[in-house]
Amino acid sequence: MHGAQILTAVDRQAADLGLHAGMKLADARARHPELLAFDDDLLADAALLDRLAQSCLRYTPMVAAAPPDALILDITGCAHLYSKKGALTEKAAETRLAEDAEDRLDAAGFGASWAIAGTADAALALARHHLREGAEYQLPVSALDMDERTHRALERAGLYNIGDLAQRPRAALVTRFGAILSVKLDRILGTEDRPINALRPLGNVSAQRRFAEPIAHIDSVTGCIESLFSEAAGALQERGQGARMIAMLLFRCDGAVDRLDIETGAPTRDNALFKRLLKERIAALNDPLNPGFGYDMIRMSIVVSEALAAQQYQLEGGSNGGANGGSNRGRQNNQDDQTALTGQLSTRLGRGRVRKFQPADSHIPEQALLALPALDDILPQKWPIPQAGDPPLRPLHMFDPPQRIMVLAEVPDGPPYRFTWQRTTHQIARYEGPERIASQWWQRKDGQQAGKGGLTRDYYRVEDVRGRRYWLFRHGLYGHEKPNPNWYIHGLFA
Amino acid sequence: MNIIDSLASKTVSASFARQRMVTAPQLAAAPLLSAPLGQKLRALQKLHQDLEKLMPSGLIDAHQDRARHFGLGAPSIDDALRQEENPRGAKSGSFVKGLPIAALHEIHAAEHADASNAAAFTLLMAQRARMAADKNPDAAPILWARVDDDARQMGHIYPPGIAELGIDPASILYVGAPDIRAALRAAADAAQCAALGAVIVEISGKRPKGFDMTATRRLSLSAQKSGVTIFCLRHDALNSDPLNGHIPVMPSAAHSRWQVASAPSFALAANAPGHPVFAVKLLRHRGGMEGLSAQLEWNRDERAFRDAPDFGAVSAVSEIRTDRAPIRKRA
Repeated sequence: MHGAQILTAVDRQAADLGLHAGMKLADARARHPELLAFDDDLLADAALLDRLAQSCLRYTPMVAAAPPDALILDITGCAHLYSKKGALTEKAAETRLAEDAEDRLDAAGFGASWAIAGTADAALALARHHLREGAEYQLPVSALDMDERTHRALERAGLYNIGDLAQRPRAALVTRFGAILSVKLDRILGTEDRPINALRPLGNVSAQRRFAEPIAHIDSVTGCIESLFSEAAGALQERGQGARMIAMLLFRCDGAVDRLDIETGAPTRDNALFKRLLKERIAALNDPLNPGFGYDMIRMSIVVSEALAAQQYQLEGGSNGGANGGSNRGRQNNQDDQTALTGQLSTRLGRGRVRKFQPADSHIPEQALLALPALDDILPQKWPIPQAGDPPLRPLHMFDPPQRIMVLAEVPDGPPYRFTWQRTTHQIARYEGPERIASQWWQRKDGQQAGKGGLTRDYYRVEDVRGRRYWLFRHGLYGHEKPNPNWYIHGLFA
Repeated sequence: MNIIDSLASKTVSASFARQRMVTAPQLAAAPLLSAPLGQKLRALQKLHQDLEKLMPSGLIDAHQDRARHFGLGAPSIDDALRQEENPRGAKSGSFVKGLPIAALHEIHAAEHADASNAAAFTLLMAQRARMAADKNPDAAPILWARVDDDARQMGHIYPPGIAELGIDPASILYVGAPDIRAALRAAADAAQCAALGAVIVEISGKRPKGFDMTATRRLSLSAQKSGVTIFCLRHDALNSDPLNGHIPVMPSAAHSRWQVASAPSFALAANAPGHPVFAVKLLRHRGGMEGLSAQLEWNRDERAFRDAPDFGAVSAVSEIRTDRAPIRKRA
């Protein structure tokens, strides 16, 4: 509205004073000069909604956020926990669940309205208009969530409610407003469902424990998590699988949710290994676990699992890789030790910090490699074998990005005579080059065009008088591509 | 047996005392000064026995079947590195060449600008150790732990360059640690994993946090137990003293300590830079010769160091040399 500041949301107190969303800030201030106003922060709102969605995971594992202000919970088959020994009907139990959620949100300071319906869109529309299931026909056409013009056009045609629309022949509506109207109408009427985008993928196996009295002692918490893992490991064993990725959710009784993720290097059902990884994970947390007034529920789900054959026990008792370490270990055991180490380091430092190198098919030097997390299953690829007798043609260390240097060199394309890098001048005693590396013109939108394909690099392997070896390049061909090309240092040789 | 000898040395028992591991031997040692000779000998014997008891069990037997030393490949330096196999049993008189595999070795970059050279030397030593331990390079990777800040300042490890040194980059397990403590901790865990080929931990600074006698002692004991060679690559740790040369500041439990600097390479045809040359100096070698210095050239095709040729007249020799050495084809 021409630069005016508008209220986008008001809290309970402000609403009591008669303010509402959509008012101009100046008008509101004129009525209540002591009004506190804050800038609208969409990202913070989204983060808050995400946090609320996390805490709703206590009701069902299928929770989706519906920005800007709603949550969708798929509570199919989850409500029986709220019925006293099956005394309530399913519908009543579902209502109790929703009321519980409303109470908890209210305690945390959020006003909420809810609705239960057969499809996510129907429930969403009903909740936004403060209606209950069965009142779909009373919803205004704006509940369709189409654009403003469509809503206005429908109203102008005398169709104010969903009920009015539902009675009209579909063909005419689709011709006038497009097929999307029909789809949206079906979703609200419950004849078509759409999948919800759940917050986190549902694990294959999950185990959870609720506590009558919240537990706040960290040792009991880890003890409980370990027993949950052995429960899950039992279920995995029946399937012949082992856990690769384990997600744990710790629900605090005040609504906050703590989250722990553990990824292993190889599928495992080993309790001792899990215990060690859990310890590493907890020690590596940026802000340590804070039970506050205690956790009232802990859930573990095995998000990724892989096939793992039953463990072969050694003849003299004791499992593989146990106390019997020594020189008689087999190769398989060696491999196990290694994956255990990779898993341990990745859990402590983060999976991106423990890496293995893979060649990549590119002639641009900095793109000739991939550093992949060692936890990933990488099929080892062959690195190109250098030609016998050659000195190393590629440096051991590379600067990313290359560092700018001052170079004295002959124009147009002479070798460097001396260069200044990090305030030190190096006199070049030997050099080899140039090794010309052209840019990837085929990746440009217009294809190859003379002089427009990007800058060519001329690489030189040089050695200074003190015997240090460097990899330098001139960025651009003198005169053709650049009037005065820059020089860079890209790497250091042994 | 080497290990027990080293344990009996003064510095080590002092470090044990700091860790509060030894109690009885110290009590026994107190009245030793004023006692008669026989009693002294008996007390000494007892001290030896106690120390042997304190050693991790099965330490010596477990590794007798595998090669226990690795050489650099250059005859001059390997000969100089030889030690008596069994110095306590005076009659044996046999010698071993090279450095022990199951030990901690420290390598210093002589100056900041020699970082890349020292890193390459460390990696090549690790490769030699892995070869000597008869480990399959595909199955036994070299773990290289590095601090992120170092990577930013000194350049990231570039795997094609590792391949150019004759080592398969797929057999490197790279650990980028947020700080020195994390790098040391990763190395300490890795040192216990016998499945690794070797461990390199790269640390910079004169007095790095968490890097002290206890930490190095722990690393060295783990190496003895698991048989994995551990290399500690250190940057900017030497004091540049114009009178005394480079003096390492901090003591450590490393078996050997090397100083590495870049040296002019042997030019190939058309005055192109040749194979990498390292000016190495053995600063410390437990139970062996010190102050050894040599110029070594890495021979990728034989995966061994060789003595760098004399640099009397570079241009003339390089001409002869180009006849012998295969010249790289140029496009």
